[in-house]
Amino acid sequence: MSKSTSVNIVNLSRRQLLKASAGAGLLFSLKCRLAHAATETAQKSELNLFVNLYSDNQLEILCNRSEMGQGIRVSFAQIIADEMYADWQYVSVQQSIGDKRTGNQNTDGSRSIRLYYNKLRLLGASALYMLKAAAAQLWQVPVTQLTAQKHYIIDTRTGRKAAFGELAELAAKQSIPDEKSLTLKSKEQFEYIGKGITSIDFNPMVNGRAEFGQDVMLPNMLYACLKRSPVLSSEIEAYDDSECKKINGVKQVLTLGSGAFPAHFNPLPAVAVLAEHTWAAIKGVRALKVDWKQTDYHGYHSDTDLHYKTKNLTALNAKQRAQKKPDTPLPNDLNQFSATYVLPYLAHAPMEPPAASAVFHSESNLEIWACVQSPQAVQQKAAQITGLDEKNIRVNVTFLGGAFGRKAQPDFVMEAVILARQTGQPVKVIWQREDDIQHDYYHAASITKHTARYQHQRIHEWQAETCFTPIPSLFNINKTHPSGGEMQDLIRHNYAIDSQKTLSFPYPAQTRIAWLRSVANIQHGFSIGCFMDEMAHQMQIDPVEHWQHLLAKNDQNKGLNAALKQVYQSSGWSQKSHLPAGEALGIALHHSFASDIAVVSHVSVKDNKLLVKKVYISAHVGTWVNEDRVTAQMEGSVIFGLSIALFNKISFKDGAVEQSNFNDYQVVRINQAPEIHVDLVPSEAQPGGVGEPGLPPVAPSIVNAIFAATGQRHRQLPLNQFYQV
Amino acid sequence: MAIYELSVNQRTHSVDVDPDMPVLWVLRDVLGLTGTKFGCGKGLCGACTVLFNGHAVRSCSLPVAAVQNGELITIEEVDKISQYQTQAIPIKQAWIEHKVPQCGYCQPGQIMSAVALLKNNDKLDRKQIIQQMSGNICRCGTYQRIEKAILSVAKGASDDE
Ligand code: FES
Ligand code: FES
Repeated sequence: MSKSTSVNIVNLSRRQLLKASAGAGLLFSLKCRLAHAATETAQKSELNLFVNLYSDNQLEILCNRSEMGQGIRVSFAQIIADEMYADWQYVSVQQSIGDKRTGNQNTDGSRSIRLYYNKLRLLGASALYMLKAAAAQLWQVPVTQLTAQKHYIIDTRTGRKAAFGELAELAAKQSIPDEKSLTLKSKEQFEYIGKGITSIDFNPMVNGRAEFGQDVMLPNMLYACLKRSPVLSSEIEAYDDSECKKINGVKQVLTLGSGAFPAHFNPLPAVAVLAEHTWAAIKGVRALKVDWKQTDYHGYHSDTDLHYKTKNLTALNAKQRAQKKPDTPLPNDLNQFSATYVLPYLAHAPMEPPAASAVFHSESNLEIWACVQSPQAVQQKAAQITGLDEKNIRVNVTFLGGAFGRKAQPDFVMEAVILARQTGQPVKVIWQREDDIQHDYYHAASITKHTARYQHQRIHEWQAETCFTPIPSLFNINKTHPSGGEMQDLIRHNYAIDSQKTLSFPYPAQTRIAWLRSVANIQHGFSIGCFMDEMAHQMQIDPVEHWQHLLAKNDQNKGLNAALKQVYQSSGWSQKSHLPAGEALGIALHHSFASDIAVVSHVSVKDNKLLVKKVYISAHVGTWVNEDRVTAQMEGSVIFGLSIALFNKISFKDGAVEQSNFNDYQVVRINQAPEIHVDLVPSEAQPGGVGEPGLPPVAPSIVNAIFAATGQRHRQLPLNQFYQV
Repeated sequence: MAIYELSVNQRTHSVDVDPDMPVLWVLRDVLGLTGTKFGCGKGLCGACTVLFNGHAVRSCSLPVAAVQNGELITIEEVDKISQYQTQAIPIKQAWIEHKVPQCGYCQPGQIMSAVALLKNNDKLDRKQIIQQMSGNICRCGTYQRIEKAILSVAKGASDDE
């Protein structure tokens, strides 16, 4: 294939690629400028680690958190630009490499704005202060006499002004001000914070120029696809690559990885096919024959095991996790009701399957390009497996084509690192969809039993018992009970319930378990959301009224109450009895990631056909930065939650995952997508999480609506086992 | 291996590859046109959608040998090619105005499907859009905005008449 002209394009150096014309479709760079780029001659001045100002006014803001669709890049820029009184037309965003100096980069837990909101405001204010100090020096006037407006520093006495660009060089020479000397804007002064500013990344995204992990091309690069161990801890017994090596374009076949514990971010045992292009690597993997060693995990059948554990939950070894004791003895003659909810394993299935590229520039100098949530975790792990110093490992973060927690585990990056070292060539590892579905770090299957004792429309005592494999099993296989963090939002003692008890039961790991969007709140939100609806029915009151009782008399529930009130109004809950036969509303609420969300779903069930017609989601998320991106996250959470409700299930047979692609691991498509109405409830509170908290109430609201429409109660997902969807 | 003369974005490229290599990998790995995305490799997700002779096709499931006599158009240049500009320019604009993308990964495929849809029928209703776009998955869940963006262009087209 070396004869073709096109190969020359591939062999262009990266530098040439970056300079190649957009017309050739080869311009790719994460540095997406809003307006014109800084002119060649413009001089750059660093006002702080996050703020670079150019002599031609261009303002380059650093984003140290990964962009995976949440709009963090535009949001970071909004915060800094606002405090600087910058003119938005000059703003661009630079994606940070893995760099400890920038702080925590692990983009998970819906924490980016929560962690950085105040810090970024201060960094913006600090840069502004330095610009003012520069003008003060230039004009020999006190700083207090100066003000800022739209990229200018203005002398309030004389009216003279200087553009930021003119002051940049002198500003960079000013000393960094003390935090205490900085004044932040009041909410009324905000120009960008809170507004739905258009993302600076849309343009490259709609033109195919945004660079994702799958898109990285390096000179002389080998493309690698891998056949990985299908069962936990199973090593390679033997393999035959004779057919594989006959395929045009296949260059090398290598083995890597280990099934030893802890699973951590280590590559799975695998046979890798390295080729001239992806297609040869894919065909090569198909032609491989690999025998895997038998392990204890080969006996795992998830359906059977979940069924058995559900039946025999209390026979397992219980641990009491929390207790709220009643102030006064409970009344006699309480009624009792209990229900058990079972959810399957889930896969992330980000639209972009994992991919990573690595090159050793020298024996001690490694460079990586990858779609990762935590570039510092990549540095650490790569240092551990190569013995290199972290500072000699450069990690470039591309756009992430979705992640949802999958790309927080850089096992796929380590594959590229190991193969680049073994071959001495740049290597890109490409995961196919089957790899992604069958070798994920899964969301744990769970069993949760709730028991309530009640009387006169009030719950007096509530016991929650739960059983699922904890994420810490990834780091220590002997961890079998959910961790404290994973129990957190199951143990809320803010309800108007006198007595509460929470227990956990062990579920030893049978696969790699890790974080998936909303994490354990998926099962907590589902089981609580459904159970409270069941209790409303048991006590013969309206579910909204029941929630009002539960949330009364406690200030901690302000956010949930506000969300409840909003969704009640928006959804027309009080008019729900007028809906036609077979249609109904269902409600669920959940607090997680410091945010409060209420969801009402409108479903129709006719001739066993389930249709979710409309979803109303009210979000109390504290102060928000980009109104549109927060709204988009709520819309996305509804769709993600709907996929869980309708379709998602990973099951294990003989220790291996049974699903493989979007045919048997279905996700919601446009023809199943409901109309979504989002309300953001105004709040003065500090920012809460946004990417995850919208998801947990979605599935239970649908199940509750089905009950209201049909009288059928479902305690298991997905719903496509019961309905045509 | 064989040499294929391909027309991509109205330029001719000669590539020397196996006949079964899907157009997706020719575009991405051989021609460096990475705007066309890999999502499933099985014709299930639409991330790899390109235009072939004016029709939206899944390039992951289309061997290179099948596209010798015809025109391939990709996301990078669909709005620069006269036959498709009427649809592609307003569609890309509508995508930005309606703030459609989240992660952006599915969007080239969505846009190519939308362009083909509008090219073949500029008076679309909601039902047709949903039917025609159901082959394109968006895991981030931007469907509502995709629908609105397409409707805004479809309406514009019928208003003109
Ligand atoms: S990659 Fe072609 S349809 Fe999914
Ligand atoms: S925008 Fe992320 S998959 Fe569609």
